Amino acid sequence: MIDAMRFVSSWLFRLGCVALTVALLTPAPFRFVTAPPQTLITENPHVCVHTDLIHEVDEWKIERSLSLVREMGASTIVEFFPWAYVESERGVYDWRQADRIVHHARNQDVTIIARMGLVPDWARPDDSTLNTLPPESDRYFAEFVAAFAARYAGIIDHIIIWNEPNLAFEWGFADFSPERYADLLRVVYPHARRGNPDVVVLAGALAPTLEPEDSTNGLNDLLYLERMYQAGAADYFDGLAVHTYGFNQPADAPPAPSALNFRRAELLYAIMAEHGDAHKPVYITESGWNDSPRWTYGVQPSARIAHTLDAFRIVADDWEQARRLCLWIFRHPTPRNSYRDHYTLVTPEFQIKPIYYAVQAYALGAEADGVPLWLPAPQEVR
Amino acid sequence: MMFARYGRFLLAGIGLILLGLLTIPPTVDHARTSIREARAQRADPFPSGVMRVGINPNNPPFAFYTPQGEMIGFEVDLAHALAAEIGVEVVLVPVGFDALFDALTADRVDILIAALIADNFRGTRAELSQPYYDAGLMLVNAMGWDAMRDVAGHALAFQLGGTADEVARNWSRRIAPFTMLPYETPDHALDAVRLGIAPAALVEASAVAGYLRAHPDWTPDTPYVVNQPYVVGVRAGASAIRREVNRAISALYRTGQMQTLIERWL
Repeated sequence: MIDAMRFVSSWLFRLGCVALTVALLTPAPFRFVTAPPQTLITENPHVCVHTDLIHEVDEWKIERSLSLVREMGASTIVEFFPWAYVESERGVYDWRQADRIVHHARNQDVTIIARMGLVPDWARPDDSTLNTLPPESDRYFAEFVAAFAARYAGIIDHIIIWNEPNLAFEWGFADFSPERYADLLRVVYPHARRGNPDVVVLAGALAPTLEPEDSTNGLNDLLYLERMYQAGAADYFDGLAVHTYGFNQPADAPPAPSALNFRRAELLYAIMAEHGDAHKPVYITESGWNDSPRWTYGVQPSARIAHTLDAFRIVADDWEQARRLCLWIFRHPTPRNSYRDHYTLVTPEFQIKPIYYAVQAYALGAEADGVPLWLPAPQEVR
Repeated sequence: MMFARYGRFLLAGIGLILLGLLTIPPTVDHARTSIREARAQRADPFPSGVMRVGINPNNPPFAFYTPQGEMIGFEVDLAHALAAEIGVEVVLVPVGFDALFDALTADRVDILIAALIADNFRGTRAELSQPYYDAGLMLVNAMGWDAMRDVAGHALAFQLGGTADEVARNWSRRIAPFTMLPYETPDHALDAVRLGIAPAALVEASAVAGYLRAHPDWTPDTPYVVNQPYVVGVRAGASAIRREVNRAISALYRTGQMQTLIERWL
């Protein structure tokens, strides 16, 4: 018996030594040291970018991204705070990543507009996509929005409810009608205001599209906004989030119901005015041009730069109701390996694209030095 | 004494048993279901006799609409060729790029042929086939160059702000200094090489193909220096469909049909 006990204790001791050694081999947690608080300098505070920090694993990359945003002269970012990430277990909130983003944004003197969406597993059917929000889960989403608004009251005072609700896939291919979205706003709005009485609830963020009434993919954004008003949505949002892309037209191309271009935003604003909402502010939370060489709606990188700067000038000079013009998208944490990479201003490896410097010069009020960014076209020698 | 003598063997045995237990899948029922499903799929990956193909029609020359509203392009023809090889009817489902993987998850399509570049992230959302085209960057030159290192100390033409611009600027930090020659368009960068202004240009493969068709007398070297393989996406777990697609792609290469399609469109 004594032998057996000695044997067991001997082995326990050896196992303890091994466990201790393994524990000591584990690297110490990475200690991140935040840079001193910074002050934003800009001549054009309507310059804004949509970021993708929520998917960033490394904290230093969040800080580096926001530092570059500030250095570019952008006063504001739009950032996505997915419900599914924060409340993956019902009633249990994990704010760590959101807190990191908010902390670094404040440290860089950059304001945040928050976008809300994505449904956790427990609030949607099995085998559905992350965008699937059954009506019975609206109140859970509203509770999340209230918790978010309360937690960041005084820091984040602008919240966008859902993203591009006029597209079927943004609802998991379920009911994407304006009436459904109006119902969602009706549930969420009072919760958001209860969480933060000063919060500005932004609705819309409609995808610019010409999809007809009978399409299963989506619905024309102008028709959708009109029907949102008819469904009584006006009382449940304080401002309109607008997505307006230039596609392959210049920034000053005239708007028309049958055209997708930057000034299509004016048609949305006209619908607001018709319904007595001209006093409400407009935040252009997604915009820009794409320089993919293959995408149908892409332009040359040189044209992308020129159109983008023209768009900022239009907002500053002509669109009094527009508070911000946010470019989609500042940087992705990893390559998208598609045309989407051609919307970015900075690569995943933090390589800065020529358009970044052009926007920076505009935001900081610098005069163009007249030096072309590219060489003249080579000429045949005859 | 007995325990002391044989105890270590006993412990080792227990340890091995525990290790063996670790290899058992956590949900046996689920595993059995998956095996049943896999067997069913192996029997007939397209039981309806129809293959629904998600295609992004905004990506010329791979897939795009004519002014008359007809969807055409390399990937449209590829979808038809794959379906013929597999022996099923094909239904083309136009899907915007952002909705491609959701369409797969929601069972609106069986496969995606939409200029998907194979990467680790996509590998988590879908099963990926073998490549059917490489849309990467070519180092177009007449110097016998075939790699980044050859550019060191020389000059490189590329399009300002495009993918080649990113790669060129990345190279500039990795090799000995070279002169960067940014042009407004890929064609201008290729003009610079053809006219002897630059020794090499970094340009995307499909743009090179188009340029060389317009200048048939010019035959530079065109080695790939950055690969961007396009693959077919298949719903996660639908391995039988992926195998069938892979078999069909191999057959198209073997019979020369793939090359015919590439030469027709790219």
